[in-house]
Amino acid sequence: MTRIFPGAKDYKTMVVKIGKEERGKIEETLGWELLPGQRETFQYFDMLDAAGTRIGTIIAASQKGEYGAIEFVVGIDTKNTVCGLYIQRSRERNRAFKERAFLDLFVGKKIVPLSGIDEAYKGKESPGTNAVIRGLKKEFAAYDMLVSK
Amino acid sequence: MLGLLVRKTLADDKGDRLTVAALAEAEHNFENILLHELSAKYKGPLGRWNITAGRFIVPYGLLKTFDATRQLYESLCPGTIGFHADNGLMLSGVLGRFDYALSVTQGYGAHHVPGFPGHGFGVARLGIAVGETDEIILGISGAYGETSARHHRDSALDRGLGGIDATLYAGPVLGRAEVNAGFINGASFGAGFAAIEYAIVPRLDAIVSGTLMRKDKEWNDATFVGLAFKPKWFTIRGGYRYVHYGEIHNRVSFQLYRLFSFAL
Repeated sequence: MTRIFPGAKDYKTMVVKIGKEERGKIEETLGWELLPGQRETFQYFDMLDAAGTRIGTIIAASQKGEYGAIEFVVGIDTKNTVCGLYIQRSRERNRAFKERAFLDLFVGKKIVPLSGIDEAYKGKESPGTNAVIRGLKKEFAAYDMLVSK
Repeated sequence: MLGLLVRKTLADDKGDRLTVAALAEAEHNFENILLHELSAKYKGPLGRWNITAGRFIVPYGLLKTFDATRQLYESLCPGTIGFHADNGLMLSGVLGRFDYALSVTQGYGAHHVPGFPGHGFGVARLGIAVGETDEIILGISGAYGETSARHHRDSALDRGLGGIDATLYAGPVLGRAEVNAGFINGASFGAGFAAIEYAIVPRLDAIVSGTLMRKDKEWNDATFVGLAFKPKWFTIRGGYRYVHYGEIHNRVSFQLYRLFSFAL
């Protein structure tokens, strides 16, 4: 967490329930159904400074890859701009998606519209790159719907 | 076996402060109900320090990050410290790439009825995560004190142990290893463990593990070769276990595993 927010002094776990109507809107925005385990709640972490003021958000996410879950951590600043992204765990054979050249394409992007995330990468697709892009869109759609609005 | 884990985190204006957790499992066709964890953790800023009280997983060796209780193969903890969970206090935290834990517990383990004050057992571990995505985790541990004998709570065994552990995440390979040495009840003790999980194809892993222990002049060992198949809704594990120094040399076992989680 401090890798993305070095000025943070603490964090607070936030859990938001996803209502049936909200889930429907998120899935409509994405164009696909949320996976089991993603449908009931949305969890993120408010990053706080010494005074307890929120300086950004961390989302620890996972998305289905070819060889199991790909776990990644993404940071969003208070203006809803991506300020950091790194992979935590994955068992994929093709590891191109772990390279900074790929991950840094999303840093500086606004979380919405989601088309900005789609358009950031124009290279060769792999299960890993697709999972990261799909995972980012899923998290950002949920955050925009459940937290920002 | 059926298990239930309940966890709740409470926060104040400056962040998460208190996490209470309980993990209980009904084992052996519901004949035994075992309380693995019942603890409260007070978290300091960014988790640089945390104080845990109650019954918790003892932070020795690989146990800090990996508990083999629900696997078809065993780790070393039944032989090294004698149990995986115990009652007491723990100071732990994360400082950059380092993590640390110090625990003082009763030495009864999770299978004995708690009493007071207990035998007295101390454990310390220092770990470091290496690599861009923390793909290598290394740890050094030490343990000293008394623990209950396996079937007699009030009969104590002296233990003094040191060990190193390693975890490797390398694409399709997940490797774990641990080596320990010291004494148990006055006898010299040495133990090693290694396990590798390899993703052969999507949803199918191969698993190989081995343990080798020597206490005084007595050897113990186990080798496991198996597969884990992970369809959409559950995990099926199965494999063959061979023990050279034991009465039952061969065992074939299967496990059907399903994790449900709900947020209230």
